[in-house]
Amino acid sequence: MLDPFLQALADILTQPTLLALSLGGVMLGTILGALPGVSSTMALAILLPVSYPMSPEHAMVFLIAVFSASVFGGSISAILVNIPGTPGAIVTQFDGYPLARAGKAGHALSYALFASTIGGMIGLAILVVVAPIIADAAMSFRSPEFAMATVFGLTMLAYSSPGSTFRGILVGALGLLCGMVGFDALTDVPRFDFGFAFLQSGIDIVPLTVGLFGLAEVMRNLGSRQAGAEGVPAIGSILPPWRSLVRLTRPMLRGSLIGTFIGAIPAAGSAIAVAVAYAQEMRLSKTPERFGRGAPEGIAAPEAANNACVGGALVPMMTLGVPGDTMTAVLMGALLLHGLRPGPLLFAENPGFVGVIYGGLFFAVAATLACNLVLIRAIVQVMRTPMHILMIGIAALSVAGSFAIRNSINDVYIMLFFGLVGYVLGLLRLPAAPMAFGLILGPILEENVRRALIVSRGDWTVFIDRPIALVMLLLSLVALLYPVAAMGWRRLRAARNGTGRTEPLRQTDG
Amino acid sequence: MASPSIPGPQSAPSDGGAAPAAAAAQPSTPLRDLLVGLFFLAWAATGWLSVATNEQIFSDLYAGLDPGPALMPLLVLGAVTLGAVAILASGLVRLLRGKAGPGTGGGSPAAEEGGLRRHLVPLGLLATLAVYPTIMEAIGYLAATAFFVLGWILALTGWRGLAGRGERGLALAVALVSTALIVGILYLGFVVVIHAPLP
Repeated sequence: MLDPFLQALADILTQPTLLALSLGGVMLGTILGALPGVSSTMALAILLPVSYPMSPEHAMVFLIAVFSASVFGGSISAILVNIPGTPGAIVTQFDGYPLARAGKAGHALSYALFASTIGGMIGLAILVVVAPIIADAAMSFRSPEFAMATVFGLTMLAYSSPGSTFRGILVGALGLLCGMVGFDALTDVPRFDFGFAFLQSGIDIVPLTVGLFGLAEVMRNLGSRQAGAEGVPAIGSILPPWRSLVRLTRPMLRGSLIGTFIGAIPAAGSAIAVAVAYAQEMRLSKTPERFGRGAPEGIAAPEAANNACVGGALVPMMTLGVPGDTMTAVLMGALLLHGLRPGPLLFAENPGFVGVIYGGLFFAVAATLACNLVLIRAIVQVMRTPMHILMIGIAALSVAGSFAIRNSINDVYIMLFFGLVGYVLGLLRLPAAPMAFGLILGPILEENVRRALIVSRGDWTVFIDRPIALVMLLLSLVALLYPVAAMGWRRLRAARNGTGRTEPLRQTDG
Repeated sequence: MASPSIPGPQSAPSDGGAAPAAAAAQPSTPLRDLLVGLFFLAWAATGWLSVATNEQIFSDLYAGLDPGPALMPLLVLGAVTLGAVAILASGLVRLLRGKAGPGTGGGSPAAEEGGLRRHLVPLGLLATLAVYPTIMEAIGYLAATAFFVLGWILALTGWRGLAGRGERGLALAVALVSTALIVGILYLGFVVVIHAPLP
């Protein structure tokens, strides 16, 4: 279990290319994460094309570094300008920004940085221990289970996305349809090509994700004219007193555990993990009134949780092929792009590659600490870039990136189409993530449904005869029906309370 | 869970194109329901059109053991159509009910979000991006990109707000330097490192 990990780590440290990719990924991830308006998902999506020509190992080390560092980067803008750079940093600003206002921005950044490091390492450690166990258990998976795991993953992502689960699933269904464009893998029959030759080879993951998460976000930012991070305060001294860091050990550990486990639940994600970690610290604190006014625990616990989520979210993605959030969905897209299908077979057939993921993440977490201790002042300078200049740069990068995948102008048009789709989705308050996920998982779902039906000779009960498949199907149904049931229950209660309240009112009126 | 109250965030970046959490927490207006329903229906109609004109796709539906390439498209299109109709129906019902009762009609999304003007810049960007590849093929990648980036940065800088020649000169210098930086980084990344055959 540890050999491939140590081997990968040794490779990163001894091969200049890998070392440069990882360090470059960390720097890019920190900066992009710190920029308001660029989420971790967007950072991954716009850098996905850059990783395309690399070998699978190089691409993974690079993207994991971007992912991991962008999670910390998000807290930089949360602390300095009170705008979370990434959704997971939302809670960090509650106490980070007041500290920065009090002239202790450097200390706040250090609390976040050390908490991130500890959270990231604990998340990774739990990933290394738990993933092989789950992958082992999942070795009994056959086509019906894989098909249901896909349905389960799609439902969970729709459930965790803002808005109605039902609508999220419909957006996922649109993604599934996009995944069917082109030649059918089993029969070579072209589908949904509308007579265009370039659609027969299918819709590539890259133009879709770049459009949905890159261009659409650029359009939204330009439309809302959100202020950039121009009013960055002075940082002051960076290293806080050693004793104050030691005092934060427990909040960091608690946050890390909460983050890993909530991150590993496909329906949850970092935004929930950080809120739980913050609430937990507040409840345990003897002086809860300090929270919201610059309490170091209020930075340390959620930041540890936020970064521990990275390891946690990789557990279902690597072992079952079910991404826990949008970021891991894009990472999974990157793996599939390189011909690697995450799931139990990855562990059995490609333990070396699993080691690369572990090693890449370990190095990235350590490098984020080192780079930021040394370079944080320079990174903060980059944040002063005006918003609109940055957004136009990202738009130009989106075009070049989607072109570079297959050297085709048509991919640029596909990217623009999904940019528009993503923008419209935002206006309609529909989540975009399930669409990308549908495209990524569509072919896997179809292949497994059809294979299961071939084996069962067309008998659909194959999906409910097998216990694991049945459980995943039932859980999906629960996630789908729970919000409806809860809303019905609330309405029922409100109706009762409403009648109860009107009567006394009438009495006073009369 | 009895968690202590957590102050609301100032502004949350949307992750993965999703609407900001605060906005998503508001109940959907009937008019938006109708638009959402129509959005899904448009996708379904496009899909059905393609399936209906595809003769090959049905050739082996349940002909052999493999259920064939039409199975999943039919299932998913059916689901999207049903879902679209359900959302449309609920929107219609709520709209009619809202009209019946005073003051409960849903405000139009355009009005609540400050008019159509806020879509001008995003859609303008999309429009210029749509012609950018054609220009790229005509005058080359570097020139087209420099033109596109510089034009947009200048357009977004907001000339009217800048007073006097000094500020404008500075804005122009910033725009020129950032254009050079962006074009340089893209050229270095895609042409020199990845060898993408950009025109």
